Amino acid sequence: MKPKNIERFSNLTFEDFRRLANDDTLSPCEKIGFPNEYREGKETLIFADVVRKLPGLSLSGKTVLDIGPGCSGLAMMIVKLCRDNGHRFIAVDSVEMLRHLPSEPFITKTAGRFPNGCPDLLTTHQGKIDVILTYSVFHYVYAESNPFDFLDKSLALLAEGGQMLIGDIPNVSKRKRFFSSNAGIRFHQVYTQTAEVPVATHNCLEPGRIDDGVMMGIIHRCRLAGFDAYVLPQPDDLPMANRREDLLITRP
Amino acid sequence: MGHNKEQPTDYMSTKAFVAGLAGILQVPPETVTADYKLDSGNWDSVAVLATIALIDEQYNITVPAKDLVSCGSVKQLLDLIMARLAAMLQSND
Repeated sequence: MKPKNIERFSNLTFEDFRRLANDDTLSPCEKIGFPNEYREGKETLIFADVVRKLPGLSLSGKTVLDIGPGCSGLAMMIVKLCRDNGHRFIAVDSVEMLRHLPSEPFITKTAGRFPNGCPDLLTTHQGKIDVILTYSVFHYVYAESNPFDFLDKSLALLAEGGQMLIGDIPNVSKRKRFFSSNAGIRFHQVYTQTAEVPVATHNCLEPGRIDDGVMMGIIHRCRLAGFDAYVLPQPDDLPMANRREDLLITRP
Repeated sequence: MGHNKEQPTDYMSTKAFVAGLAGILQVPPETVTADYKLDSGNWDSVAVLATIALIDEQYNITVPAKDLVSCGSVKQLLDLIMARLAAMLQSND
């Protein structure tokens, strides 16, 4: 079923997220821009997928950077994993969002928008981060700032053998492929409680949205910079697996 | 790299930007006039991404995708860049 309040969480900006984080009438999922129906009960599955894709998280004594962790259950699970495995955890987000995370000696909170809002981090941790996670964040970066700058400055932080997961990227090309399929049409009809067939127009330019071209462009840029980069699917049991995918980047 | 904060309306700066834009759009530079309609060719998501990078490189400012896609012509694009530059210079004063 389509969530009633979905428009409230459309086209959010960094400033909108600051306001959501401060709104104590919202659930943790809503504070990070998701209707409860989209995320509640699914974050354990998302966490398992993230851990599977980032083997460095399962080691010990690493330095982990989360860009835009938010404050929902997923962030708390990452924090717990870092505590259990003896990692150093660096969280970059707005001060409003960071105040919801626990304050413990292994956690460093850096308030600001990545990358321009945290120049010290970029200097002090260049080539020193073992794992970077940024989940359900990149499409806001694409809409609001320079995605290449975000990417280049993230990659500069990675240590040798380090891994970065840019997770949960909505890809409009993937979405169209899905909604052109019988499975997608059935999904849409259940979701809208109607018999309508979803509109999926191919071969039209949608310059403001992330599509296959952008995904391939990012991979190309990473590889040109000397990193390995791959598009990874999400498991079917994740809430947006039919229209989102992940990018895994590793420094050889 | 080649950005020109002091003279944002500098002719060479604009010329270099237009040449870069022509490369992104894969059309001859002389066809990219002020009236050139961005959606008349290869103005796709990759072109937008490349233009964000070009503007950053040329003028040292960030013009996000959501603003770029609201531009219908090269003139509107240049006006947007100049407005951003003016705002940045004003905030630096």
